[in-house]
Amino acid sequence: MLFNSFEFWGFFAIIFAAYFFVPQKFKWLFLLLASYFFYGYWKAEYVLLLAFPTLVTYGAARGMAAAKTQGRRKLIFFSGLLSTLGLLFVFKYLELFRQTLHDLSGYFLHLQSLSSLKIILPIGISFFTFKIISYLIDVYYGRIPAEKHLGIYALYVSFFPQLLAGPIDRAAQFIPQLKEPVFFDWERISSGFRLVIWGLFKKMVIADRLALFVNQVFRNPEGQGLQLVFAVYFYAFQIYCDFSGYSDMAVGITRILGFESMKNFDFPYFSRSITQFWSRWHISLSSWLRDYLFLPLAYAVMRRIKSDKFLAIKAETWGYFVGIFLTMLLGGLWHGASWTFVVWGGLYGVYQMFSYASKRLRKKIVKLTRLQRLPWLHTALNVFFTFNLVSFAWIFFRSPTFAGALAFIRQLGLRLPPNPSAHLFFDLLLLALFMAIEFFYKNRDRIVFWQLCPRPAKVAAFAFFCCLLIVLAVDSSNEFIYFQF
Amino acid sequence: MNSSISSFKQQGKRVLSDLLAFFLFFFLFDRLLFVGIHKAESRFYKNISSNSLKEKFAQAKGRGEYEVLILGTSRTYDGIHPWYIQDELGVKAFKEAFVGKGPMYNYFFYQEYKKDLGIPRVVIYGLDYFLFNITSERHWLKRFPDSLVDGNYFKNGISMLWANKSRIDEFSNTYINNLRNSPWTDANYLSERDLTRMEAYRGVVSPGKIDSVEPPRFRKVIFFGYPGKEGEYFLKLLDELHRDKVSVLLVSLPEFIGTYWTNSNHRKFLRNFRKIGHKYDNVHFYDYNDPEIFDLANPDYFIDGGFGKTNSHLSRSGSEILNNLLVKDLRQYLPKK
Repeated sequence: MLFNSFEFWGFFAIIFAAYFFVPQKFKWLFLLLASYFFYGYWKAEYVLLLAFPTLVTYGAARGMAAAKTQGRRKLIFFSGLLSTLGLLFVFKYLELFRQTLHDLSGYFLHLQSLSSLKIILPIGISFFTFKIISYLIDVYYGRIPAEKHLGIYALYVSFFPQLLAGPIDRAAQFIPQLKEPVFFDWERISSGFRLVIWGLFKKMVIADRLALFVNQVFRNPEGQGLQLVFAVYFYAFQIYCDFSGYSDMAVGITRILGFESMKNFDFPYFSRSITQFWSRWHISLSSWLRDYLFLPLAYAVMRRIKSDKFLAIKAETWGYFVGIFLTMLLGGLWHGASWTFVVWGGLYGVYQMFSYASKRLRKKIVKLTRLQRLPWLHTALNVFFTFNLVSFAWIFFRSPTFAGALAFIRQLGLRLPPNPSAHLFFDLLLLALFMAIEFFYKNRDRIVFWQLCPRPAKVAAFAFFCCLLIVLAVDSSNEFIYFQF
Repeated sequence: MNSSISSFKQQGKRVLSDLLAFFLFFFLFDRLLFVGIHKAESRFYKNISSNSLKEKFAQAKGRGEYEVLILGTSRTYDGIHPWYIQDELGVKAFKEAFVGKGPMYNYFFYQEYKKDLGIPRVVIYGLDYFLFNITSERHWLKRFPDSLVDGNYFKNGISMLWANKSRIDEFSNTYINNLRNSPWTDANYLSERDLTRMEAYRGVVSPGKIDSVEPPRFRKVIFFGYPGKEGEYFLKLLDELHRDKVSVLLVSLPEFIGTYWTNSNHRKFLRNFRKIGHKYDNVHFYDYNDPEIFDLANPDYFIDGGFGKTNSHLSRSGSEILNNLLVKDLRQYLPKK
């Protein structure tokens, strides 16, 4: 069930109507059943895929809590971790592994072709396994206690608004909320609905509209010249509106049901550096990668270098370089079982290593050009360069193959084809509208006029926005891009 | 009492006033926006130039007699080609099948066709699973001023915008295309307007990119039977053809296997058209969308379609097979030469 489908809203209307009538002590059960129904609706057998790691890791966490020795604790921890990672590997990466083995065997060993495994990627597996892994690690390091209530833990893993594409909420923040009583709070509910409508607008008006142009250009890049450049920029906004639109809906629905989910996007295209971009883009994943991959890796490297420097480079720099590069590579691979995603991740690793290494040089340039006297221009230039680096990386993300991405880059040009797509001009107008609304949304607390507006005027603005959504929405049932991950 | 319900009661006034205000404003803006769009749409279609139908008929008059008329949507455009009919049976066929040409368009078109080119001997009507669920597009209907008078245009509903969404989309798409100052300049539209191109056209080669793997779950679509949005026009057209003693072949066109399973209610579809066929002695139903008659699973025979996709068009090689089947059946309705 897609958030932008009638099926989902029919389902949610029933849940919402019944939810506040369910006694507090059974609310968790009600949501758990709803979540499993939601997941099973796609393919009933895959409910087992959700239940199995939930039970295993629940048992592992409880086992760790009861373990008398550190060795036993470690053994239980790694058993739980490996079973979850094994599941992810089989369902998500085994086909890539097979394909790579097949290609290599063709080159080097001349083996017969290995037959395709035809494993269907269960939707949302990358998201709920990451929730489970962070929970296990946190319990292992004693940051949180092992959850005693199996139902609450199962609900944390399977909570339907977050099940398919996040946000990847942490157990420490989310499980306690699930135990609190939920009351009808109109302010909270209406704010949740506003967020849902804003998410729908991003998805159905901006992302799906831009997709018409982007798909057309990416499908046949030859001779498109400047249209390719626009396609790359538009894709940057398409994927942002698609995924942040989904996240807004997920956060909104979570809020309607009485819980707070973590913010997943914070105006990432206004970032002044790649590092800042990653602290504002898919925050629940990037912070997960930082806490559970980058920091442990960086510290491990630093610990292995006994002296201050190694090969005339500081241990701290080694830690950063190895940590960030591997984290970005694996982050790329998390997005999809394809080498294009690995290249995409690797590119970000290189960006950040270069940014780290060129800090001094960039400071000198700023000093020489006296840019510090014009901070707004300095900021604008930083935002511009960051946005272009990010957009360039999206080419690898969007292209089906590495060769396709390179062919696309070779075709980039500065001349419009003789008969440019009519969508181009309309999409530019639409993006301007979107940016204006985003700017307003970002600064709404500082806009005095909006603060002084009476409530009915705000309701009227919301009603107008809903009408605009109907007029401008693209009539399609496009899936959210991040569902494939 | 449940604490959620008591908290609801405390906030009831606020909830009701907000909801009331929302619906009032929504109703108001919905109507205002709709009227604005409707006016812009009327002005736009009035200003847009070219009535290519007259040009087309003028071209046809100089090219001899047409005994077969082919009607339908884009699936028929890609599936049935005058070239094969002329090649095999030696008769000329006039094709008026294109995206957005539903039964309503075809009804009005037939009135004009008769006036200019006379009554054909046979009409081939390409059937779609969604035949009664489509709306003839306004940029085609503007060829017939009578067709644009629609008494139900301001029908009541919670949202006029929602009720007329497909019409608004069509207007906005045409408007966007028109930004280039040359609407419908692509190859398809050119061949739609140019009879010589149309008669030479034999479909496009399959891009070979159809996803034929069946996903674990895909949406299935029920059959929207008669009358639907334009069913009355379909029957009016059949009545007229019956009066004119024209043989009518209702042809169910092949769909790629994924689409075939998506459009799941084939029995109802077949029943619907067989039933219509039984009403008229001049109407004959042919079902080529049958895995036993046509290899629906061969992706080379199609240019699109798939699981969860309701629309599927034949490729050049697919249409060649279909046309070979069709001309065999068509032969009996034409005089022997």
